[in-house]
Amino acid sequence: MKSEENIIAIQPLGGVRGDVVEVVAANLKAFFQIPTQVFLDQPLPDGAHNPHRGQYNCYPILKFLGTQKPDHAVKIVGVADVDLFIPILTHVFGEAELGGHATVISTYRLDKDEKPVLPNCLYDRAAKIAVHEVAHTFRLPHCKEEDCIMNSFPVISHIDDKPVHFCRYCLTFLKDAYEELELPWQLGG
Amino acid sequence: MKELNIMVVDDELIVRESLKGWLEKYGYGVDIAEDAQEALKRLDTEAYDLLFVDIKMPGMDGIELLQRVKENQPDVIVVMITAHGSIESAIEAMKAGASDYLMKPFDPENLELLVEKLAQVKLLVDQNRWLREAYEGKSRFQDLVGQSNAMQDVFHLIEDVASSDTPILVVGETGTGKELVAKAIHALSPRRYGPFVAVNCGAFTETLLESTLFGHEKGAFTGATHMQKGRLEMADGGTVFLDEVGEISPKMQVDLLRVLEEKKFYRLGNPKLLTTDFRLISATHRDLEEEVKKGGFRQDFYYRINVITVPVPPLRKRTGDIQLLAHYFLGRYNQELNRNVTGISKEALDILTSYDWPGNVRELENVIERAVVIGKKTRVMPLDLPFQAEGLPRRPVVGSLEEMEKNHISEMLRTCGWNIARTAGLLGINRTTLYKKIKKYELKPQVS
Repeated sequence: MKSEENIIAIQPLGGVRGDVVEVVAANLKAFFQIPTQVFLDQPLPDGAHNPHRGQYNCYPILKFLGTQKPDHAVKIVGVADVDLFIPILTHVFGEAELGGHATVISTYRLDKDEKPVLPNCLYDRAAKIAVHEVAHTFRLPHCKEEDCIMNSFPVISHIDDKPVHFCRYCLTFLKDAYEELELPWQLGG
Repeated sequence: MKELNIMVVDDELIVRESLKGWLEKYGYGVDIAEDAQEALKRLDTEAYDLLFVDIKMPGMDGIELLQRVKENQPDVIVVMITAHGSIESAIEAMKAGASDYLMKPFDPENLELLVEKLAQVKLLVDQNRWLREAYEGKSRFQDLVGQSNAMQDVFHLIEDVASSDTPILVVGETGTGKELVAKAIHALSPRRYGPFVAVNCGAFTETLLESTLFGHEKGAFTGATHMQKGRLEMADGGTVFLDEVGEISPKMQVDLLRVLEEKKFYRLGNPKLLTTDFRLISATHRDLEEEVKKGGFRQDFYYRINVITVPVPPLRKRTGDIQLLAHYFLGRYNQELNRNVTGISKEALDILTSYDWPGNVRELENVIERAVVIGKKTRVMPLDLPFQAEGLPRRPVVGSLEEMEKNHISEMLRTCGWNIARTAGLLGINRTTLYKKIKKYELKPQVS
């Protein structure tokens, strides 16, 4: 795979705000040192909406994203603003298959705290969730280090305290994944 | 957080895969089963710390599975999964020993907290298990140790057959503990206050075995300088254990058949008919039925000694017992040898549980004794195990070198819960090489 061809594809879904998509794309590019390319917005796939729960199932969305990923994209990230779930959980902020290609995140629950959040908070949270989920697609599991971006955060406000930072173990695993995919490594560590 | 080995039992594929995927992101090793029967089979061969069990499943439901698990492996933590409206079943499950229940769909925060809490509980359970078992003897039966379903079946069979005088044939590979089974039967039988006389038939020549079993008078043969009672006579009122009975010659089989039928025999060199009253327990690692077909073993003698068969499973068929046995032997030899090796590292346990154990429990006992003797730390480390010098022994797979490599890597990944760094370390290769192998062989963590 030639390095100049590698991109992370960003797929806006269902009319999500363009500014959020741009922030996510810019942060992923800066963090993973892989160019991002924002595609045209697409409707959420049929079958994703669960009328009984009033939410959107991540699995049909991930499957749809898989069909949208061009060959030269190493990963594809769906960005939506609907309430996401996986069948066993009440809700998720994002979902990725460990070691897979596609991930989806949503802004739906990112600014619904009991206390008001700062305007930039939505951007910050969306970017951190996107980094976290994309890292899962590089086979990184959750990390026990609290100041690592791969630490889990079932409550959204927990992510505010985390820097966009990998601990040295996660950075090593990410480097292994880059080597495996023959991606140029420019993240240090 | 303690590492957990988890199984998700649910008839809904989407729930199984979804929960497995979520748990794997936390670094846990996760297997899945689509029904209770599959779960029980897995429990026979794998040691699990935590089960997530759906209450409503076709066939055996989750409550019955919970009861079966708690009967045989009470330390396994079981969390029931229930849907809206089945709260009564969840309460019933809690009464039957479930640690908690989750109502679908789960709140991610609650699920994470629950798993963390159960990991702590498991840690405490493990810390107390070895001491407690010494008192309660739940995984011990006489001198036999095992909590797997396979060994529990053996224990039940021993209890069932102990009270009668029926001849027993204990079958199993070398080192599985056939003599311990025979001793357990004797200890539970009405003859327990009588002698237990063991004879290893494979250790004697035919003439020596004859004199050993039947005894001899002074001068009965060259070298018979004094009268010697035979083992059959010595076992009067007790039990005779004929180990490696498949090694007995056809002539000796005829002689023994007569004794078994008439309870009478002649001591060598003495024309007086002697009587003896013993119960016979025999053991063999050979397929005697096949030997009978080939003509190498008398059919009438085979039927006489094999009224009831007690099969003892090889250790590779009850891998869930390896950890238990390893700690049992560790405790014993630590005390006997006055050492201070009080635990086994996770890496060493991984190696022990992934080895095939052709020498069965006896081999494991020897390995632990050796580790206690040579160990320099308070825990048994991989370097204390004899496998390290020659590399981890591989299962005898018939196939190409590539197939063997693929199988071995797959098994090591599974053993290490797909922890790439640990697996690479145990395999002695770097992570990049391991990734390349995973890609080459298309190995996936979802495979269970």
